[in-house]
Amino acid sequence: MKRTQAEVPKLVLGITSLALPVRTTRDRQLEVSARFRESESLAVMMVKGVAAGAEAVLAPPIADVRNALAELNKDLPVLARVPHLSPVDDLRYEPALMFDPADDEDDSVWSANRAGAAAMNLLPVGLAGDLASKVLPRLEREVAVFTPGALRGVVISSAVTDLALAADQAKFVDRLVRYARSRRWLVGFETRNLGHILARLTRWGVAPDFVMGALNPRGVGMMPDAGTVLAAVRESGVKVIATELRAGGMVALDEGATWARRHGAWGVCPELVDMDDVPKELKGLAIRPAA
Amino acid sequence: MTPISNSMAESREQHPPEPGTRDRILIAGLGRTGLDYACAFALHPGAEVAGFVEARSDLRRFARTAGFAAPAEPTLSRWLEKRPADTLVVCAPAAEAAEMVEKGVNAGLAILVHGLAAMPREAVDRIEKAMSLCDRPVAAGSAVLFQATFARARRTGALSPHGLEQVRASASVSRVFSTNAARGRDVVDFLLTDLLLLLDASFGPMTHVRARGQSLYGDGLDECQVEAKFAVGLSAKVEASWSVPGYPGAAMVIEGSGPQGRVIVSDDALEMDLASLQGRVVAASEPSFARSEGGEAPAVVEGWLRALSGDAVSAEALSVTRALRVARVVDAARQSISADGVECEVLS
Repeated sequence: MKRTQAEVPKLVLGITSLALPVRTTRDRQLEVSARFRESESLAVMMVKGVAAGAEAVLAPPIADVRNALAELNKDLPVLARVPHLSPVDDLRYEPALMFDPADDEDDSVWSANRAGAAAMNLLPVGLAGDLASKVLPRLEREVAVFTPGALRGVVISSAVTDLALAADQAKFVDRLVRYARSRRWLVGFETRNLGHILARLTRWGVAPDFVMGALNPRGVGMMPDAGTVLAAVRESGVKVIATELRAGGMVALDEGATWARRHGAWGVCPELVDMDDVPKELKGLAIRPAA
Repeated sequence: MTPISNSMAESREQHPPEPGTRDRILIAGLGRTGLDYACAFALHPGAEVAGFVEARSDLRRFARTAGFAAPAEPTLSRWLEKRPADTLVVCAPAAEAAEMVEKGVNAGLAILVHGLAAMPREAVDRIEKAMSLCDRPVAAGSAVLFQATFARARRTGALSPHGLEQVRASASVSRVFSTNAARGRDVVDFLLTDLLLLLDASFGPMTHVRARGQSLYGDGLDECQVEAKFAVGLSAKVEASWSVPGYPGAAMVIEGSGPQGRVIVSDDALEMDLASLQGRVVAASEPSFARSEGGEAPAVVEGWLRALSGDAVSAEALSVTRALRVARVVDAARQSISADGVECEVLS
């Protein structure tokens, strides 16, 4: 059966706060990670979240998520947030993306991957590859955490998106979009610089399925500033899935989501740390029609 | 430094300068932090990334792979032979940073050094000497000095020596469990230094320290406790650990109490119960300072460009004098740890 590309979801359950620092209080992040430490509890929460109206789960390819999904006897719709860069990468002097974790998996084998990296070091700087060729093998491997039936698409993590943005790499976005579409995946780009990237996408003439970035009534995380972001959302024509809906805890989730939708967001992505009762609060967001 | 008026600064904000009039940034050191700076400057209308200096070809290649088209050279001399620049941003490892600063000063560049306070003594001494000869703006970049709640606590006077008698400070993060943890870092340079920068910025110079440290999982220090005495007569108990589970990002807390009341500042919030100041401010409610997000550089970059435009608050947060002072506190703390907690004087 030929697979058709999924629709861009309007309600996404974000579970990246299980593994990454997010804009909330330390106590809240610790509380949430403790609550979902057991894979069964994470699995149950995801199932209930989807039943309550989440059209996809934004998930990093980490062991906790893999174990939780393995508890289930059915596929949940997943947007894989890749590549996954761990916070502990900041212990290295080198940029995290320079290294592929696969290189460390078997120290006894001189893998083809390493041989390729060594060969690259013999080339002049001018013959460096492009960012997509660095990211795609890692992306391929990381999405394998999810079953093909579950995978609705990929969301390129902000560390990579924003690197491409700063380096003005239209080609990177274009290659990722073509790659994902050849697999009938949705492709979105997570960013911490929503206003910057929407302006750049317009100039580049490249259109991913969506971008994900901060959009909330207090302007928290809206870069370069709230006014620029709102204008860019209005004018770019790119679908935006709003994150940081609670503005770091300053507004209620439904208030933030309503505001984001009213200001042009195609969809919303509440994070685990934003919700006390995940199914109930997702249900509340699912039944609200877009303004 | 060439100050410009506030009105000119506002005008610059509304009407970004055309290419050619922006601060031309040369970034030395293309590690993770160097790329952070490249991204932050690239997204700022007041600057342009003119190029890179990096001795390692794999790092130059990675920057090219990422898409940065600005020229990169293995040495600063070779870069400057071919092109002009206004500012040298030094993000290189300490062993190379001192030479970069010396050459940058000789070339008449403004200098921004990242991570100066965590560098070893030899590098710090050389950088201090070179910068003392510099007649262009110089700065020491550290993101923690732009953190919103701590900045507000200092600005409002909530975190100051006046009225406080007891100070406790702690910093926690989860890093020691990583396989990367043994790469020549320890809790002192990774975490304690930032906390000491915050303490110096709040209470002034430290004169004596007594410190102990523990290596729990390897050769490097994983936890440390420091008793610091300040020149103003205050003392503080300071703890830092990178072996606390559940902290993907660093958490810092400074708590002060005395006859005027109590104040607690963390990355999350500022809570004041003082005679003159009451209330709670959460970090998210503070207005954004930078023009981009990601990594350690955006706030420092904004601060640097504002300092060049005459903003005294930003210039103060980038104080080289403070970074040098704290580097010497770190040095004294390491000596004390080695001497099993004996009190050590901080060299001035």
